[in-house]
Amino acid sequence: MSRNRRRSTQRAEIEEQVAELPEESAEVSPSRRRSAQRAETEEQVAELPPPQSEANRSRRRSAWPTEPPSVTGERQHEEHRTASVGALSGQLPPGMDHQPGVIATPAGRYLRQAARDDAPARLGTPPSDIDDAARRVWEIAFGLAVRRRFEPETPLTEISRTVATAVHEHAVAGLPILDAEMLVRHALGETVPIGDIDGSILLAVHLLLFASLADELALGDEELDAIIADAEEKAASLVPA
Amino acid sequence: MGQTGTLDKAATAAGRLILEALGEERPARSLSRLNDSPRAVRLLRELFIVAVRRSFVGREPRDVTRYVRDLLEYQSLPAQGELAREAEAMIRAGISEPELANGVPELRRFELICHVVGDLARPPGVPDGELLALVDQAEQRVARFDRPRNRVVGRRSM
Repeated sequence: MSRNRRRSTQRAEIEEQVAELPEESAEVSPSRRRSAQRAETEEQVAELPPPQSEANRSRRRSAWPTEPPSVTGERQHEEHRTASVGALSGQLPPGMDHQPGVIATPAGRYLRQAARDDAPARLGTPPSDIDDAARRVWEIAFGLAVRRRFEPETPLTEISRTVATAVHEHAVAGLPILDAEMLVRHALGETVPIGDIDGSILLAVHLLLFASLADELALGDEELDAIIADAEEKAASLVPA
Repeated sequence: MGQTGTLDKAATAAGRLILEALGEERPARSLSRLNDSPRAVRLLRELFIVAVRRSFVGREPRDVTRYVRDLLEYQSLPAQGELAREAEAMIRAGISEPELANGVPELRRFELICHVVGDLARPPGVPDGELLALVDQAEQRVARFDRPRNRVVGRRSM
C-alpha cells in the first residue's frame, strides 16, 4: 500500500514538473512535426519523376532560370565550402594564408570551443565527420599543450596527477587513464607503448586533454589562439604540396 | 632444475605448487597451468603484489615501462601495444595506483601475473631464501585478507 501511495505521489510530482516546463514540451512537438514533414517529403519525392539532367536540376533549383552558369558554379563552390566547414576540416580555406595567432580552420575553431567548454565535446566525439587534416591539427595542438605544461623529465607522478584530473573532469567520456598518460608521455618524446590505441580514443584524448591542459595552464584567449594557429600551420606544412 | 630444497619449507600446498612451477624451465607457462587451483591462483596474486613491490617501490616509475618492454621482448610478445600498457597497468596497480588495472580482463590479468611472477621470482635470479620469504609473505597476505574460515592453517613463520 505504502509503495503504491509513494508511486502515485511521484507520478503527481512528475506531472507537476512537466506542467511547469512548457518549453520542453514545445521542443518535443517540432521534432514530431519534423518527422511528419519528413514522411510527407518522402512521399512527395516518391511522386516526383526521376531526375533528367544536371542542367534541368540546377534550373529547377535556381530562382532565376536565366542565371549564367558561372554564377551557378560559384554558388556550388559556396555550398561545397559550407559542407567542408560542417564536416570540421583541418584544411585552410582556398586562397587563405596563415596569419600568426589567427585560427583559420573549422577544426581549429572547434578545438577552441572545446577548450572553452563551449562545444558539445564532453564525450570527446565531434558532432560531425572530420577529415585527416583535422585529426592532425588536434594532435599537434595536444602535443604543443603537453610540452608547454611538462618538461621532458617531469616526474611521472606529476603527469599522472594531471591526467587523472583531466580524466575525472571528463568522466562521461570514460577515457582510459593509462592510454591518455601514454599519449602525454609520447608527446614528451618518451618511448612508450601507444600502438593499437583506438582512433576514437586518440581523438577524445587529444580534444579533452587539450581542454584540461589549457585550463590547467590558465591560457588566455590570445595564447590559446596562438597555440591552435601554430598547430594549424604545422599541420598544413606536413601535407605534401 | 628443481626447487626441492625449498619445496618442503612452504607452508601450504598452494605455496608448494607455486615453488615447484617456479623451479621449472619455463616458469610463466608452468604457473599458468595452476589456473585450476583456486588457492594457488589466490596465492599467486598475492605473490605478484609482493614481488612487484619488492622490485619497484622506491624506484623511478619509468623503470616499470622499461621493464615491461624488456620482459615482453624477451618473451617474444608485442611490446608496443595494448599488452604492454596492460602489463604496466597491472604492475603500477600493484604498487600504488589500483585504478589503472580496472579495465584489464580477468584472463589477461592472470596471464600477465604469470609472466611477471615467472620473471621476478624465478630461482636463478632470486636466491632460495629470498624466494621462500616472498612466498611466505604472500601466504601471510592471503591469511590476512581472506575470510577467517579460509585462513591458512599451520603457516610457517620465517
